[in-house]
Amino acid sequence: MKIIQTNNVPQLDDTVLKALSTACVYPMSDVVMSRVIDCLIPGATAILFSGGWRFNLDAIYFEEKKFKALPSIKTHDKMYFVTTDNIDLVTTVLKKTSVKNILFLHSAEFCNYRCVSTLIDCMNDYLIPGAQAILTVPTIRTDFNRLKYSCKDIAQKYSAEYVDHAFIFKRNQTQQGEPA
Amino acid sequence: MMSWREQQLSWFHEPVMIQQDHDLVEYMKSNNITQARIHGDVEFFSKHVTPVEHSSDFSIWIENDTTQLFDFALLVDRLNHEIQHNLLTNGVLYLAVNKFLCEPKQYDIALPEDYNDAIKQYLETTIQASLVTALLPKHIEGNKFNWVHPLTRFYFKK
Repeated sequence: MKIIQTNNVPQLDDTVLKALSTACVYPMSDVVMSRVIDCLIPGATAILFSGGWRFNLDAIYFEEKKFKALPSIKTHDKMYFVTTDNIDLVTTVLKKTSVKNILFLHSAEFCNYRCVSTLIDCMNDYLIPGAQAILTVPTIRTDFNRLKYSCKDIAQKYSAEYVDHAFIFKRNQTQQGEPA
Repeated sequence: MMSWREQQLSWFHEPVMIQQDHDLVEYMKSNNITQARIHGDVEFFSKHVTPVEHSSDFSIWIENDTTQLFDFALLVDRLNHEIQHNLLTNGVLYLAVNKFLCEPKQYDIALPEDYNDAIKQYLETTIQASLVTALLPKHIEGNKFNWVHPLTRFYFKK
């Protein structure tokens, strides 16, 4: 019998892709979305690896390349399909389009049970001059020491907001790192 | 509605088993365990061992109900009750927890910084049985999408 890990999937046919497109994003509450909208600065917005087909915002969307083959996916006019490791390509497009808001919204594909410092580092990889990055993630999908710290402790430590069972991290190029 | 495990396995055209399940099944085979008390994922593990209600020398406890958060302190109370009342002397309790579902009522800042180490230390000092093995998923870097985070697993001997 073949032994697999919890991240193994077989060949990507339509059935698997469809399931992945659902599993690769976390449900997002209106409260969190509303808070994100409040945080936007004037200028263009890009939404990265967040299941862009579920949003109606006027934005540039980047989605995982594998979902391009999914026939049922709702596409936007400005929707690019790239791999999550192709940061240079994404940041080049972000710069050329003078994007001011770079959003990662409840993305299982991007957040994927990472610890907070890794999440912030990954988000910072996409930052461009003059823009801000905003990352939202359900607290239940974030790796931190739950026996030692509360969600409020984590939010405070990383200068995040704790809203409706989610963390909201905001960074720009002058505040990339973990606060002292 | 299919569980995450059923969904993931259903996509493969060949017989497959998830590593963490395979590890437990192999443990039971190598220790000639044919019956066990089972808490959580009963349907799946019943295919590999006969579930019993009475006291047993093996207990499987899976804490991974994604619809319900748990408090480690209350979990420990329940586990100690299981060990005291339902596990035979020299019996073994297998515990697998989804650490992301933990929501304690109080926090202990004296615990180790690493979450896995904190869980291990917490359980070692509160479970009324000897920790034999701890299988801590320390190498999950998040660079591949996981259907579910691998469980944090322990074997305790009464």
